[in-house]
Amino acid sequence: MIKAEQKPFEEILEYLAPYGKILLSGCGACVTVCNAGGEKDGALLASALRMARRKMGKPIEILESTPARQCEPEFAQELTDTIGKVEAVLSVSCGVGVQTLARYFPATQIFPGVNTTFMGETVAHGVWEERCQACGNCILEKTAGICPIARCAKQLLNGPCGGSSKGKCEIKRETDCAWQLIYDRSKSLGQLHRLSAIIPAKQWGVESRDSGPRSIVREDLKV
Amino acid sequence: MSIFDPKIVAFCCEQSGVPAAEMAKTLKLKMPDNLELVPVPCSGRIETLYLLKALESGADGVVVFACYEENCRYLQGNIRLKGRVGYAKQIMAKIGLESERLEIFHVATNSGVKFTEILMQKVDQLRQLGPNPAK
Amino acid sequence: MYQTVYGGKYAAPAPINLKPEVLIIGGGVVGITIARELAREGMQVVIAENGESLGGGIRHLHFFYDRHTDVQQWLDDMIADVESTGNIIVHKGAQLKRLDGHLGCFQALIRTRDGGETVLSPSVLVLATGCITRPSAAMNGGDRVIGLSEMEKLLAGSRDVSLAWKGQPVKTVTYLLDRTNDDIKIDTVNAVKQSLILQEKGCRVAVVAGDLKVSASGMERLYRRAREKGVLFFKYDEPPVLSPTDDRVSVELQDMTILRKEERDTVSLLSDLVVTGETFTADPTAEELCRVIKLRPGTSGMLMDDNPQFQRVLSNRRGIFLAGACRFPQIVTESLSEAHAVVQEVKALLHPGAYTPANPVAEVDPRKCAVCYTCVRLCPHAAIGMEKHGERNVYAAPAVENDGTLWGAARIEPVACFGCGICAAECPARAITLYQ
Ligand code: SF4
Ligand code: SF4
Ligand code: SF4
Ligand code: SF4
Repeated sequence: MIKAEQKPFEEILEYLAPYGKILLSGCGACVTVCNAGGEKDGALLASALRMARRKMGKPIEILESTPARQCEPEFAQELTDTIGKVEAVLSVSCGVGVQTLARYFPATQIFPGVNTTFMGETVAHGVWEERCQACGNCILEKTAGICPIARCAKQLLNGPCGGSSKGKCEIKRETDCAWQLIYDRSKSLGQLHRLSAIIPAKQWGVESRDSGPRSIVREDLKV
Repeated sequence: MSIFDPKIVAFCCEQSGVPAAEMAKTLKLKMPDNLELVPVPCSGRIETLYLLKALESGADGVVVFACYEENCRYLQGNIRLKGRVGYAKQIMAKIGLESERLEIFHVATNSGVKFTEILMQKVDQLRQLGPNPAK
Repeated sequence: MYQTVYGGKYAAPAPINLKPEVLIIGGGVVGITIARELAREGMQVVIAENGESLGGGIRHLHFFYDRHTDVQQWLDDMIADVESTGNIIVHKGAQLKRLDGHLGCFQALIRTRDGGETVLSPSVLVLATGCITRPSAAMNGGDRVIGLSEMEKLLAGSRDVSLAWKGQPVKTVTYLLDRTNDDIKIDTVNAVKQSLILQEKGCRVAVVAGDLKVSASGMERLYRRAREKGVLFFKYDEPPVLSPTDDRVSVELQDMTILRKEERDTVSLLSDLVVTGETFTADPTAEELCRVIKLRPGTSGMLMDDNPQFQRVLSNRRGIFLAGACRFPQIVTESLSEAHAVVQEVKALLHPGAYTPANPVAEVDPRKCAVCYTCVRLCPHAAIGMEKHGERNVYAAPAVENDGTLWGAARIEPVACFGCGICAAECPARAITLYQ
């Protein structure tokens, strides 16, 4: 799922400075799971903001709401009445949800409360790691189910660089070398021969977002 | 000039803090005047939000009376609490609240005297800090 | 079954029926004792024993310290009784592979070594898997240093003949204790017990210990008798030194009867045999068992740590009990009293025929649950699982109950919940309420 973490507190305080009444909108899905913007973390942030503003002598009123998923129009629209009552919105969903609100509420400032960080996996309770960069053309079938785009610092496609040492990456010593993982897993699966096929360079300009934002259109589904 | 009488919210685990408080009461030990005791079944029940809300809604200091580590009736409660208190302190630091305004104390059922001593010391400490500027 | 009512209203959990059926994992002396006593109460008992025969670790014991009964004879009588009791079923070579459910309706999958599988639905589970005795790390002294259980075997094998080791007569024996284990009394008990037998056989015996642990019933008396019979006891601070001579081992230690450290002489005990404590480790299946049963492993791989807020035989899960050496190495008397304690607990729990949660219980509002697994991971009592939930409809059109197409939500089993509130405090969706 999408992983995010709260923005620096001062940053949030700074852009909320002009406002006296806001809505803090969380999201009940991805950011709830990574403890960044669900009902609990939204309430914590709201409480902290209220206190900080009181301490500055400029109290702020904060309404709280946590739609199940902020990136669906229907859920966003549920907020219509509440948004009518406030001067601005602080959204602690990922960047997608912030933009959904921005699209539906053209007259209201929508501020992000979290930094959307990556698409990742829960490796242990409270630990999340990046796993996919949405490159647009998945090659996991060639790499034993371990992604070199998201997990190799240099996004190498055909084996490790010269800096891979004792299974660790030279860019970040505490991180596993993705290619070591790919090799080890291929070996234990008895699939090492797959690694001898050259993986062609990716067509970044075509598949990935290098040529602008991508969209998926299913004509059959359109209404 | 009247002296500042700090408001303390004390969360008490029913396995340790509550009996300790009762003992203090039976012994008629001196307690702070401005004290609110909040019993919880286990210190693990205390949400991070409760700690912040207590400060937000008027407390000058928040203390938690929990069981000694490894002594939790529910095995993990006080360990989970420790993490939450740490997180709450990070948030307090961002707001600019002194870390002394929130503290865990480990007590046993028979720690009546320790219970009041801790609270009276907290009162002194909070008097020096002054009122919670964020309430 | 328990029906939830949402919207802040609390429906008191309905009682759950308890059938008098018990599954015991481990057919050692503890498992057998519990089985017999519960069967006598009319309960249906199943014993799943990992080994090929009943008996377990007590097979290595031949003498009781507190009575004259022959251990193996006593055990064989009990086993014969168990195997002929109608309401006790014994599965040998059997392991617990899966456990679902909770108090009153566990679902236990037992697999035997021949590949056979049985699914049982006991109301409660008792773990009595014991522990394993291993020779401790070699000490200087060569093959004249043996473990307590080796000496036990030697004594059992030479009841009517004089003692010999590797063809040589044994005249002097020194027990060196507290080098391997420090905080358990089992070594002291066995050493004092054996030293009395040795003494009767005309051996000269010395017991060298850091601290003698005589806190078992009757042990003070046994110790006094050993002294009266001429067993020598030495205390040490500094670990004694073992040095092999041609045909013996010399145990050298400081004479602690002299108070001033500098003036102490070295006492040297020339011994035909030196007997030491052994290492106790958890049964190799313990770790896997903890995982299957969702039990908290204790320190050093044993089951469940000591916790002053907890009664000894209780586990972190309601309806699962532990007794005997699976928690820590203990003497038979201790294990038996734990076995009796389990019997009392099981009787008290099952006797009313139903269980109604009396403590506060937590409840998930499935409409808010984000299925993040936080609560499932953090509940110390394994009371939470994920279930298909009829009421969850935040993602889909109004739901049809149990049609199998819905999102799951966490569900707390009120019977298994202890009411600590940890889940409620951690749920990032604030979907959990603790009702008090
Ligand atoms: S808004 Fe973002 S965080 Fe919320 S459901 Fe959509 S993708 Fe996930
Ligand atoms: S190859 Fe591309 S799509 Fe596949 S996991 Fe890696 S980044 Fe994601
Ligand atoms: S912690 Fe809350 S959101 Fe997560 S699974 Fe449990 S009930 Fe659902
Ligand atoms: S209240 Fe405690 S025991 Fe009950 S489900 Fe929650 S965490 Fe588990």
